[in-house]
Amino acid sequence: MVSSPSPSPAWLEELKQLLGADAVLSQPEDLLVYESDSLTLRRHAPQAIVFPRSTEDVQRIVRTCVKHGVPFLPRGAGTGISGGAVAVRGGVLIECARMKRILEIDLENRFAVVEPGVVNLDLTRAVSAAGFHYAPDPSSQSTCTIGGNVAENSGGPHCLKYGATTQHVIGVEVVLPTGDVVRFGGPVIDSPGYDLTGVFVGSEGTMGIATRIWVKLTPLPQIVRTMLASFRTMDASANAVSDIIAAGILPAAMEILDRMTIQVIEASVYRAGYPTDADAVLLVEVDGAAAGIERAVSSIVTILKARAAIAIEVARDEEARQRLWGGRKSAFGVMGRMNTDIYVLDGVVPRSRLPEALRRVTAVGARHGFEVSNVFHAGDGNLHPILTFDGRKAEDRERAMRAGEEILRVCVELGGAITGEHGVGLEKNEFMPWTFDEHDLAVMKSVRDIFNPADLCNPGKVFPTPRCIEAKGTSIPSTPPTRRAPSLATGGRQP
Amino acid sequence: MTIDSDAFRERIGLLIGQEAVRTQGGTGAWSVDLRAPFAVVTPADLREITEMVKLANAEGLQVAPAGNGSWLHLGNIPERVDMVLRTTKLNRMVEFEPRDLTCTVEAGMSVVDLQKLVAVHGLFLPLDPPFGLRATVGGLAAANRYGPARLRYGTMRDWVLGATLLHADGSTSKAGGRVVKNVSGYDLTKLYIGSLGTLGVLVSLNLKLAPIPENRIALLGLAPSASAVDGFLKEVRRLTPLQPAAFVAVDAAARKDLHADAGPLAEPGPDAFAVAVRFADTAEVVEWACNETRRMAAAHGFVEAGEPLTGEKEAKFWTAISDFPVPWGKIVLRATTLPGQLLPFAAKARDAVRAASLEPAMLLHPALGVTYLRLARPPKIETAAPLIEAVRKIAAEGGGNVIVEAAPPAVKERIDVWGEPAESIEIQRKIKQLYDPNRIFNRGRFLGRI
Repeated sequence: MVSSPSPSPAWLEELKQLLGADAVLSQPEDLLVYESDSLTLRRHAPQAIVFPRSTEDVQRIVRTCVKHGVPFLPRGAGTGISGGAVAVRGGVLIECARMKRILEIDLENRFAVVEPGVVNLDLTRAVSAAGFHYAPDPSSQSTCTIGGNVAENSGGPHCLKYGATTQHVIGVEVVLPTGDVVRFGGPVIDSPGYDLTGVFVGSEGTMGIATRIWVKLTPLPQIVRTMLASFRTMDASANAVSDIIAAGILPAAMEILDRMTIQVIEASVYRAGYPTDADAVLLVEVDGAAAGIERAVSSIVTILKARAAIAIEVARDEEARQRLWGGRKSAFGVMGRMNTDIYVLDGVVPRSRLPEALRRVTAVGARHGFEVSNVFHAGDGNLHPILTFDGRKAEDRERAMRAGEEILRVCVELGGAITGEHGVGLEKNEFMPWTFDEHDLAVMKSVRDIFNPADLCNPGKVFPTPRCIEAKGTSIPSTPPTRRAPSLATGGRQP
Repeated sequence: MTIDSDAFRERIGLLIGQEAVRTQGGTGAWSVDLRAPFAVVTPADLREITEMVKLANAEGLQVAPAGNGSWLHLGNIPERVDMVLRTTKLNRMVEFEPRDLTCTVEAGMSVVDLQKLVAVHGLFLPLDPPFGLRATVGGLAAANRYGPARLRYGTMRDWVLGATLLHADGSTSKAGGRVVKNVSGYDLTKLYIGSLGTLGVLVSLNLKLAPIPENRIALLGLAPSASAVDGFLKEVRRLTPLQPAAFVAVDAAARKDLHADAGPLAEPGPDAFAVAVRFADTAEVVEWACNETRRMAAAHGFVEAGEPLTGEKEAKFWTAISDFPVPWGKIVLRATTLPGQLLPFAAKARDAVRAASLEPAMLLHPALGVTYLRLARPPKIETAAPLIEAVRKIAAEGGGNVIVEAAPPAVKERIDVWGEPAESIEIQRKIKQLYDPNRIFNRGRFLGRI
């Protein structure tokens, strides 16, 4: 007979019996690992972490939770930066990492069926030799899972041309928060009825848990050309972006890095050869059929010159291309080494308002004592201002949160949105009233309630909470955490 | 339930002015499957349209929201239609930011007017639905119809950034936003697109626009057989950089049914198909793509038939193709299958139709997996329903489905135009219940007779 000093709750015992002890973690040190995703400002430990292997496992977990009134939420790789995978009300964290099979690849009909734990880049790797890819490419694509991408409707540099996750997900099998399993959409277009796939994608884990996902596969372009231009002023680079779009050219990606980011990258092992005297560098990538590419490149170069680019480099080969991208891809990781903690924001402004937005973001940062750096998807106006701070100091964390809030406020004032690709989560739920009135939010909430009537599935996300003061009080722990989830070490923190 | 239509007409007149109401006699053209409304109202603004919805909700009047009425033939027969509520006076461009490639329009603006306004800046809404020349933007979103350009540009789902919906209780709510990338809040616009007006009245839409391509061309030809079309399709899709903007295959019977603007398309023999492939890109890419296409098509036994179309002629040609599923008195089925199963499906469906002693007219979008099957001579009512079910069964074998795009009411009485409700029907019903608890909007027309 083994007797435990503090008997674990009945639901926990039930989960262990259903799934086997090796699929359930509940020791305090395990729980600490999962107390946050890549938004380190908000930490709440779950009471247990479970590792389902199948739809049936997920269904059993959800049913057990429902029976006992225990909150639950899904988690992929924990690379999200809005706190979407944080167990704000405790309960069971359903870690989908073991559901990582690619179930079907149908090249003729250009789709694949995957389990939610499949890593984004692994799907592309599985089809690239045949000339295809899975187009949505969050910067964390080597770590993040497609299930997580579905929850957040993730974007990425190339969604400028190819669209975000919602344009690539054609069906989902979902374990509803009631425990029922249902399928929306599928590989054949035009399922009659309301577009529930479209509503589910981007619902941030509050409408159920996707256990099977039908995604489009997209042909790889015949040719890709990448160029980098540096500018004396940030305004000039942002204006160049608008000019390129106005010229009727739709590049695959347009990314801007600011002076501070350039300098940090160039001082690191990820040195990419970016000119350190520039105020901004603009990375432009065009792709498509080989026949049209040279003219597109020369049109872009003409525009860059007209905006007084200091230097323009057009990558001559794949190695040069990888080098130009290398700095961009390492940016968040490198910035993360500036201090103990990094806060990556995710605001959107209309493209034409970029110069003004950037000036105001810098000013807000300065007012709060931050030198804000910016690495962002310029083509679609999606800013990622970065604040680095000492997360061990409560006042620094407070300061970062206040600055973040003001920066997002600027985005909204300029006609934009509080999130472009990472979701509202726990980070920005209190900001939702800035763009949606009470009735808009009530409608959204009522739709959620249809899926999630007991509000047990990822509670405390997306919507402002009436107990906002209390929630804020608990969100900033007085002692720093000791450990983070393993995935953070390799690929976390990346938008 | 009997409606005192005279009394209601008077009330409506008092609320929004008699001139905004078209009454009996003039309402026949606005029947939905012979369900004639007693009033067709065209409110002047959002306040008036709200008054109408509130009145209907309070008094249990049945409302069919409409723009120019392009898609009144879609769906099951409504239980009743008391009022057709037109949005056409809500037709302003509210905001247009050419540099951002975005605009906000009221839902009653016609697609053509929108195109004119944005073309000045070299932009367009790149969709070519049937009736695109008279449809409104709101109607297009609600019906979520598409034409050949779907292959390149998708549907309204890909171009609507945000929307404002007028609910049955007279409130409005918005979802999405005005920027091209936005994940704040649930994407309820997806719910409204394709909801056929069953959740409320779309009153304004935020749209994304695309640059008008430098060159557009249609290559015309003849394919000797279905298997040639299939072989060509497979090769085009394998040679992945080649991305046609549209691809259609038209059989002999369908060819005869096309509008005169499709005149340049050759007339195929009994088992052959007339084909058209469109490219829309820069001059260099179009030239390269045409050469590649000609090479591959020839290898599959295709013959180029007619000069390639460009300019105005090309645009009109695709409009004629898009308008193929015109409903008047005919039965038109829209089947969707996986592209790889489309030609086997089409062959079996044709056999099934011929077994019923009828001749189908078929227009295929092979790369989309869409087959329009039109019965030129309407069959006897007794034959039609089992035939539709037979075709449906063939599509279902490959995971596909068949929607009856149009049929005479007598046929619709015997079938469900949407087919068997999906397994998600309970959620769908709850969504309808949430938005429109009294079921005043298009009652009975949508999936599961929602």
